[in-house]
Amino acid sequence: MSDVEAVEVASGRRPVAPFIALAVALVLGSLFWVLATSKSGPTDTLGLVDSPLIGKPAPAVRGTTADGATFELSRRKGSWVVVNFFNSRCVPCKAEHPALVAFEQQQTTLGADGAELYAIDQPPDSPAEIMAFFAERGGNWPVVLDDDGLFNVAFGVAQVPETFIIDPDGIVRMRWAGAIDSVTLALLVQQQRDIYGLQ
Amino acid sequence: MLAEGLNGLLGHTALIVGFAASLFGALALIAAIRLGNARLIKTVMPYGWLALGGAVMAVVVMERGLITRDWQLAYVQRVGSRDTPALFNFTALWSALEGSILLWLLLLAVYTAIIMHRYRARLADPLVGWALVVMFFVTAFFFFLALGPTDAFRAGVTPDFTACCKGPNPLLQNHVLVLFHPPILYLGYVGFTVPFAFAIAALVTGRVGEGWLVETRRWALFAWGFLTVGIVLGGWWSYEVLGWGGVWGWDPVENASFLPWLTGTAYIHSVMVQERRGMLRVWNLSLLVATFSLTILGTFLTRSGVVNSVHAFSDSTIGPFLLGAFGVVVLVSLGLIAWRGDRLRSPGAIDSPISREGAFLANNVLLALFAFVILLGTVFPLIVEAKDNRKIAVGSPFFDTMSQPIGLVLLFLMAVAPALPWRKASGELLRDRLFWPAWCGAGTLALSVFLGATDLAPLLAFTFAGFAGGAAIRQLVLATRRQGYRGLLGRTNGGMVVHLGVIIIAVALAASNSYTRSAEFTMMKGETVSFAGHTFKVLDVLDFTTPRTVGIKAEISIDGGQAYAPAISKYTAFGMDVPTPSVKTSLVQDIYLTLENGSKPSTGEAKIKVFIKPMVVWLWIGGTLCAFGTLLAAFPGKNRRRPTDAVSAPIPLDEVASV
Repeated sequence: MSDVEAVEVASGRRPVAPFIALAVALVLGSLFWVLATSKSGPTDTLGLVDSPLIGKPAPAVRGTTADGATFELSRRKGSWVVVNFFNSRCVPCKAEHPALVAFEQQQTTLGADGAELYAIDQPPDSPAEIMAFFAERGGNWPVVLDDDGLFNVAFGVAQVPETFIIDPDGIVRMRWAGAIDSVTLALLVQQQRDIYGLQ
Repeated sequence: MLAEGLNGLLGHTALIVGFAASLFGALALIAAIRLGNARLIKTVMPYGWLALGGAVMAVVVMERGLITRDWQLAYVQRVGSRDTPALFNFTALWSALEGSILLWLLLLAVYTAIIMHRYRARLADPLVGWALVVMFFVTAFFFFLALGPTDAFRAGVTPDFTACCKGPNPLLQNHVLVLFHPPILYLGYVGFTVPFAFAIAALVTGRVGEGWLVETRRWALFAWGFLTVGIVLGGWWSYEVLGWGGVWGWDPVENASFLPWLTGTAYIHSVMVQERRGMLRVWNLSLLVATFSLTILGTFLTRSGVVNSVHAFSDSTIGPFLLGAFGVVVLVSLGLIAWRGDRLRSPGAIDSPISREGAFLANNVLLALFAFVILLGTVFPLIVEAKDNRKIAVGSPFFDTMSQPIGLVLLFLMAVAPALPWRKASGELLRDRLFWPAWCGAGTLALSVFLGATDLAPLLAFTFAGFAGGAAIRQLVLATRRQGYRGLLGRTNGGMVVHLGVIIIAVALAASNSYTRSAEFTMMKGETVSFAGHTFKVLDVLDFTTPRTVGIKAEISIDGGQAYAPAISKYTAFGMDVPTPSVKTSLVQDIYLTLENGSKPSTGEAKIKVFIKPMVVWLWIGGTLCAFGTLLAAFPGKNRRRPTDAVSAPIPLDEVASV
């Protein structure tokens, strides 16, 4: 609306307002069109969410599992990997756990095609607490202790639970914030597998 | 789905009554104005009170639902929990979309009722009548939003307490500023509806005089003051809660509040040109239209999910309605301007660019340019996505680069403009009036260099700030010398106090952005490190547990003194980590401590990040000064002009011809 000068300088009394208004209307009309047609992206705080990592290689981070082994994400290439961030005291994580147990069992039936499940534990959990958590609720997959917060920072996780799907080339494919159910997780992995198979 | 409970029923009823009342109020008023029917006018007031009652009732019922934990309401399930502390349970009303629309609605209904009551004797005056019609329509629109797209009183499904009812977002339940920032910001946003309504009324009635301006200038000032304070409080909240050490991140939500602030600021300046010289009429109307439509557009941008933002609420169906409202507002306003614009055009012209009105014009062009740049940066990712179907992000580097030069020129204008007389300035006069301010600028430059300031941009900022501060103080000293304490009142002098506040904020921003030093340390319990002339000793690293959180905190003694305790809390209901910075504040600098991931109480290891940020506290002092100055400006000054004064009346054509 830079019609000031035009309006002020115009010494004659030609009608200018309709033309300026029309010009402004055209500009705003195109803005309106852009806004009206833009998709509202996955900005939901829960569910499928955007991440700068999607389509990029998973961060090369390394950690120690609860039973003392070294875990290196980049060495898992060749398999589908599901990385689940959790904490044994977080309420939604507890609610989510049975779904992960079911998912893991279902993936085992697929043999070599099945996705590997890893959990990244966020402090302040101790190995003893994690053992107790799994002993009580079932499931038996490696839990990486993220005491230094390396995974946390590399994946940009500020709220657990969160789940990432990584393809056999080590590329991050999907990010799910909040608790997931076993059917959705299995479907999402299968969907990614199909897309991957087409390439 | 649960059956509708008492609160749901009461809430829906209140909203329906309010919606109908504001719609009938608008229609009755239009009919009364068209027919000149005095009896019909009398029916308008009850509609207004009924609408206010509906809005108040809706908010009260929702608060009742929150406080009594009425799990029948879906909204209470979403933002309420059994153990949220009372304060944050109260503020949970505006912690998600549906409730914040209720808060907006309440403030709008209050403004509408106040306008109606204040002008109750003049409702038959078409200018007042049409303004109230606009307010009724806007109120009806928000009642509609609250009833349909963002129904806060929707009945919930049977609550599953393992997944639901966790309380408001953890970020919105750990600082008392949550109580003040949103309502004050909304008072600003919603307040601009009043001058907008009068602007539309002026266009509809074709009243060429300055009457509507005089009616609304204090309303605009009022809204502007609240918007300013709301924005500053938002920065403060971000600084105290988010733990990244900054106050402003050019997030779309922040930009959405800054855009109407810029056009609103342009308006409260350029309106003086119109009052004084009868010029810039169409421009002033356009600024008010822009301010109001930008609040709607900003709400759309941040509430519809089209732009990614840290504080955007989750997806909802409100987007198309807000965008539609933006379209209608712009279309109607532009149509009215196209129809009436030429009739409103002023006969005068600016005599010389070196004059008060010339400076106001430059200020307006800059502020409008600023707003355009910010808007462009905010929607640019959408434009690129629409055109090339790829995602880009526009971040701080763009906004910082663009805002720095504009900010500097604005500071320079703040220095020169108060010295400029209306119409035309002579070189001699300027030399005289700018003598002391210029020395203030030079002195500030010398002092900054002496204190070790480097880099061109901050040094320019300090120099211009000194210059502008000198100009504002000179004006205040002259005014108080003449009139005593009354020299602080009125628009010009109160405005100078606001200028001082803005200058202080600019200096604090320049200093804290340019000279922040930060470092990260991994230390063991008992260890001491030195950084930037301070020592930091880790006294202890502790686990802590509260009913809703588990976390780690480190106790750190700064320079051997009192312990500061930055922490990370994990809200167990959400599994969300919330950092809590700890700040040692002084007038010279803030020492801002955060605890980082990787700290281990078991081994006594603490990872801390230290920010040394100069002058941050002056941001809040400047904000307070802005609020105080706005208050002073709202008092009638000595030179108050009445609409009947000769200078306020439209200038007759023949008089202009003789000038």
